[in-house]
Amino acid sequence: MARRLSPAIAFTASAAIVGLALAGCGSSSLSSSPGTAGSTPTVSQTKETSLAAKLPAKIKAAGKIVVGTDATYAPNEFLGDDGKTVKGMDVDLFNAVAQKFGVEVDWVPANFDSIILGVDSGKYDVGVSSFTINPDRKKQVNMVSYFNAGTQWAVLKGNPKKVDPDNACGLSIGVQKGTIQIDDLTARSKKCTDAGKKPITQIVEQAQSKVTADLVSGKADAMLADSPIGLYAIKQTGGQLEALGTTYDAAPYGIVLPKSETAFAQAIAEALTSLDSSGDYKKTLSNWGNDSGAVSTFAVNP
Amino acid sequence: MSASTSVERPGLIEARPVRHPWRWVALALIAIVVAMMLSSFITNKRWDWGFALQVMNQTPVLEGLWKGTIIGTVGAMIIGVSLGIVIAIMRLSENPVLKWVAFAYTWFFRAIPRYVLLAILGSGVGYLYSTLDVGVPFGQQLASALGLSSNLTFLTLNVNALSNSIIAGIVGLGLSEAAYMAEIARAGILSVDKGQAEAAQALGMSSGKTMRRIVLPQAMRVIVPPTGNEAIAMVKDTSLLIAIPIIAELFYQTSAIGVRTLKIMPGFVAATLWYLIICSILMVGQYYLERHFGRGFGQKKPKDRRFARGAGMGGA
Repeated sequence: MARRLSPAIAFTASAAIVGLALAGCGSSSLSSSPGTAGSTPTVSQTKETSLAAKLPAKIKAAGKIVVGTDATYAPNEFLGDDGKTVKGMDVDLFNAVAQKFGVEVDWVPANFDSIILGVDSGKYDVGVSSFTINPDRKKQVNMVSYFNAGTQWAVLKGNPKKVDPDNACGLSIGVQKGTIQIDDLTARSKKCTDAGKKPITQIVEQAQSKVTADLVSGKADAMLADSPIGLYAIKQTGGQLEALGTTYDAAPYGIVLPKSETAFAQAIAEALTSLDSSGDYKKTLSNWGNDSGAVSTFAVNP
Repeated sequence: MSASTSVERPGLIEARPVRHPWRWVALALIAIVVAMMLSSFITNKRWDWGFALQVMNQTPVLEGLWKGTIIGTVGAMIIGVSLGIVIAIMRLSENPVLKWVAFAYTWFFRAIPRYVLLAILGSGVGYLYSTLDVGVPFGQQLASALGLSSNLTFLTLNVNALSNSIIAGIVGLGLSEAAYMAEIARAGILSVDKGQAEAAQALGMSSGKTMRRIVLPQAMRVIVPPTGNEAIAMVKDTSLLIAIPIIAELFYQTSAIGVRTLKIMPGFVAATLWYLIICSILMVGQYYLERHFGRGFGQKKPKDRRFARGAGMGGA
C-alpha cells in the first residue's frame, strides 16, 4: 500500500484545486458584454376588472399565466445577464397585457418548435415567442396578432461572398429551426434546382443566437431571420454584419393560445387595444427600436 | 571441471543501448505540432483565453454548474445505482416475472438515446399526461362507477410544472443510468463465487441477508470501478439536459454567453475547462475508492482496470 501519490493523481488534484480557487467568487459582469438595447419598461398598467373577469378559471386560480418562450430571439425574447430572467419586446408587451388582467406572468424558456405543442397540451397557458401567423399554425391554435415583421437577410460587412438573395444557389444560409424562413429557403432552393443550379444548403440551428454566431464565424454565408431580429443582430455585432436588401413578406406575429380558449384570445386582443389607445403599446415597441412593426388592429386569427 | 580453467575468458562485451532514431524523429514531429498549437493559442485572438476564464466565473455559469451539472449528476447516479442494483437482483431472481420485467427495462432504457429520452420527458410526457395522479389503481373509474365522493386519489403531480425542472432531468438520466448500472451490478454479483452464498445459507442466513452481508460487499470490488466510470460519463451527459430544456445547466449557460457576445469558442472553452476540473476530481476519488474495495486482492493496479468496461455495458 504505497502512500505516495502518482504524478497523474497529483496533476489532476492540482487541476481540481486551481478550479476550486477560481470558483471562489462569481462575477456578474463581462468585459465585453454588449450594450443591450431597450430599457426596462417604465409604464405599469392597472388592472381592468372587465378584462379580469374573462380570465380562464385555471389562470384565475393560479394567479399567473404560464408562458412558453424561446429565449434565444433577441431582442424579442432573450435571457438577461443573470442567465434566468427572460427579457425583450414581447416580454414587456405581454407583461403589460397580464397587468391589465391583474395576474403575474411565469416565463418558461423552451425550444421553439415545442411551444405550440406545449400550448396545445396545457403545459403553457400561452405561447409568446415571435410566432408568425400562418394558416398551418392557425389550424392548430388561436393566434392574436400584435406586431408586424418581415424577413430580413444579413451578411458579413461588405458582403464578401457577394450573396444575392434571389440567386443564393450553392451557398450556405443560416436559419433557425421551425421558422417560416425555412419554407422561404426551401422554395428558393427549389427554384435553383429547377434551373439546374446547385441547391441552397440550409444551416439549421436550434437557436437564432447560434445562427447569428454562425454568420459571424463564417460557417454560414448569409442568414435569414425576422426583421427585428436580423436588424438587432446587425446592431449588436458592432459593424461585423450588414443588412442585405430590404424587409419582405411582412406578416403579423401572434400570441398563441389553445383552440379552446377563443374567449380569452378575444380578451387579450382587447387588452392590447387598450394598451394601444393609452400609447403604451407604441412606447414599448420604440423602447426596443421596433416602431416600424406596429399594427393598428389586434385580431384573433386574422 | 579442470577443463573450464583452460577456457579463455570471454573479452569484455561492448554493450551499447539499442539506438532508437525514430523516437527522435517522432519527438521532433510532435514538438513541431505542439509548438504550432501553442502559437495558435496565443496568436489567434478568437481563442480569447481571458474571456473564457471570465465566463467560467460568471454567477449564472457557476449556478448552472452547481444546480445542473453537480446536483444533476449526484441525483441521477443515486437513482441509477439504487434502481440498478434492484434490477440486477430482479434479473438474477428465480421468479420468471421479475426476471423478464428486469430484462425488458434494461432492454428499453439501453436502447433509447439519452437525448431522445430527455426530449420526450421535456415535452412529450406532459402532452400525454398533464397531471400524474397517485392513488388506488383505477380508483377514479371505480369511484365514478360506485358513486363515491372521493376519487381515491391521494396526490396529484403536475407533470408540466415538473418537466422543466432539474427533477425531470434527474429522473430521465437516472432511469437511463439504472439500465447500465443493472448490468454492472449483475456482473458484480455473478463474479462472487457461488460457494460463498451456499456457505452463508449453511450458516442459516436468509437470502436477503446473504445478499447484503456476503455477496454485495464482495461484488463491490467488481462494481465500483465501472461505476466510477459511469459517474464521470454522467457529468458529461448532464450537458444533454438542453433537450428538455433546463437552463440552469453549465453548458447551456456558457454557450448562452458565447452566442450573446458572439465569442463562441471562449464559451465552449469555459465549459470544457469546468468539465475537465470536475472529472479530474472524480478520477482522484475513484482511485481511492478502488483501492478501498480492492483490499486483499494483491497489488492489482487499479490503473489497469480503470478504463475496462464491465460485461454487457454498451456504449454509454
